[in-house]
Amino acid sequence: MSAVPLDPTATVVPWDDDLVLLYERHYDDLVRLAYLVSGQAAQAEEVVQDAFVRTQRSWARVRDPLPYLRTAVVNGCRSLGRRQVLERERRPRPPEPVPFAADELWDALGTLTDRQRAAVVLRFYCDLPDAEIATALGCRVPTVRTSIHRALAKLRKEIDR
Amino acid sequence: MTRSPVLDDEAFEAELRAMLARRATDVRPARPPVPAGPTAVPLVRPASRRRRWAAVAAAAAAVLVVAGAAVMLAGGVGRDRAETDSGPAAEPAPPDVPDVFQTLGAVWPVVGRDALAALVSDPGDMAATLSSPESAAATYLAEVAPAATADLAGMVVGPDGDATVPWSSGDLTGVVALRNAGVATIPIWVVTGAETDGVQVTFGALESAGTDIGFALHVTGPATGHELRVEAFADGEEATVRDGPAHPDGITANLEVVAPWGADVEVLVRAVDAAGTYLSTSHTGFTLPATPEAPEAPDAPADPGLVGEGAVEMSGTFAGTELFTFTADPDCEIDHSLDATLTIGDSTTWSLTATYCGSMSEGAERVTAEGVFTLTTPGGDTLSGRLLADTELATSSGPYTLEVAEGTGAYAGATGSCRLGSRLLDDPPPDSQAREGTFSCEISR
Repeated sequence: MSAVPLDPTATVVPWDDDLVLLYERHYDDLVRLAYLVSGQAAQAEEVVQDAFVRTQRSWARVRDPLPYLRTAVVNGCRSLGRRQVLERERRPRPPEPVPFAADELWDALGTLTDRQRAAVVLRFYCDLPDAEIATALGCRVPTVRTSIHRALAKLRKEIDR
Repeated sequence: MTRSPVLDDEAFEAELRAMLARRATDVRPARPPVPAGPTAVPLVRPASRRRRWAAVAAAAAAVLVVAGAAVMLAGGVGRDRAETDSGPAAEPAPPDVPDVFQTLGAVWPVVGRDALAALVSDPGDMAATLSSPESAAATYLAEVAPAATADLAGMVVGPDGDATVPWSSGDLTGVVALRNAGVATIPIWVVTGAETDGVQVTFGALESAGTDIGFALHVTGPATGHELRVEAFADGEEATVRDGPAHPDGITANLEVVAPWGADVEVLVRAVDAAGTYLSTSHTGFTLPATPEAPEAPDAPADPGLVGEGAVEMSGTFAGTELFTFTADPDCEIDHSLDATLTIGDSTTWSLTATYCGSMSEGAERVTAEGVFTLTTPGGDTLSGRLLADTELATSSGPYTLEVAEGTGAYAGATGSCRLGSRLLDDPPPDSQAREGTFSCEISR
């Protein structure tokens, strides 16, 4: 947390060197994570940029920056997801989709809840252990397990395996 | 590194991994440079810090409730701060200049965790008023700016539960911003701000980490010719506002406030030009969560045994192990069994066994369960009946209710109920979890 007093001459709190390094090394990966979790390419970079800004704000308290960033990205994506739900509720029902086979599983991801989708991406894309997924999702390990369990069951049902 | 055995279909997992890796290449990130420049918005301390809000702090007007990730924004005004709602005004406002916004006779809107709950559970005039953005905006303007007219035909309802309603008063025009703080089926439209066509300031990215609160001010309109005056209060007392990190977009200022646990915090931001005219005023408030309370010591036990007819209340602590298994049975998605010990006072212990079936909510947020239980006293008498559980998965905690339907021995014919405040202990091994908490029972026969 910065301690710069509010003052006309106050300008900017520079980014910590370590955070800059994280930004340079992990920005692209986090954007891909945001895209996979949210399904929205256009908003993925915005989510990640906001996550870095929030991390900078809390930098003095952050002990594990990468998990913290990952959590911020997932939370940002879930906020997007909530807005998507509202959009879907207010939008006329689209015609029945005729998915391409190659995208069938990707489309099925869209049927998951925000938490389920994030858990699946963190597990099967980021290859994270349960404990780190729980940290990213802000839940407990059993919740991760149940979320993934239900997500996979739903995915398999969606693609009618 | 622990990974739960969530699936036995390795081919499906491989297909899922491959698909995610393939789709990850859909995006081609273009990493912008690290933001280094100062914010374009000059921030100054106000020259005068009048204590205009203390009286209304207790009224809990304009409360933004921060509860975990759930944030509801709400604007509000009171008698002492009618001028804090948006709109042009002079500082100091000459008394003979008619303000667009009038002094209020009542705090409005009524927003806050308790008030919202009351509105939902007891629909009344206010609920009807807040059930649509049109009526909420019209009521708001009638309260704070009787001379203004709402242009309901120009209302815009966004896809994310936000709405704007234009208004005008003579040559002056502006917009009332609203947000649906309820749900789609039970909307509760609250005013989050009001702006003229001058500089507009909106709050965003508000988050709380303990007693440190961060938020962003997004400023649109002319980049120069004004300054932002920022004031923050915690329970009516002035609170320190300090700069946060720069935002890459250059038009967002990040600020931070430190306030005590449980404080009602209010933030007022005004864009003021050189002549002292308010180009915009924005206000928000929020309540920090209370410090987590230490667990209460169990009450001294009443007589744990029933002697003759009558009622007995008892309480204490419990601890046990809960086993659970996922099943393919739609009527019993998660099969549970619980083996626990209830300790009444320091020494008397009862055993509790229970089996119950749980169902997970669609969003995997909660598990509700129902089953049967048996409580056994040291002397072998029993109480039995139905168990109901409602567990929040984020914390793996929630109440367990034991509805006593029958008993044996000294408890023959007993009825009543027990409530267990169950919480999960450390991360458990798969399919098993240790629980503990307090309990209380009221039993009669």
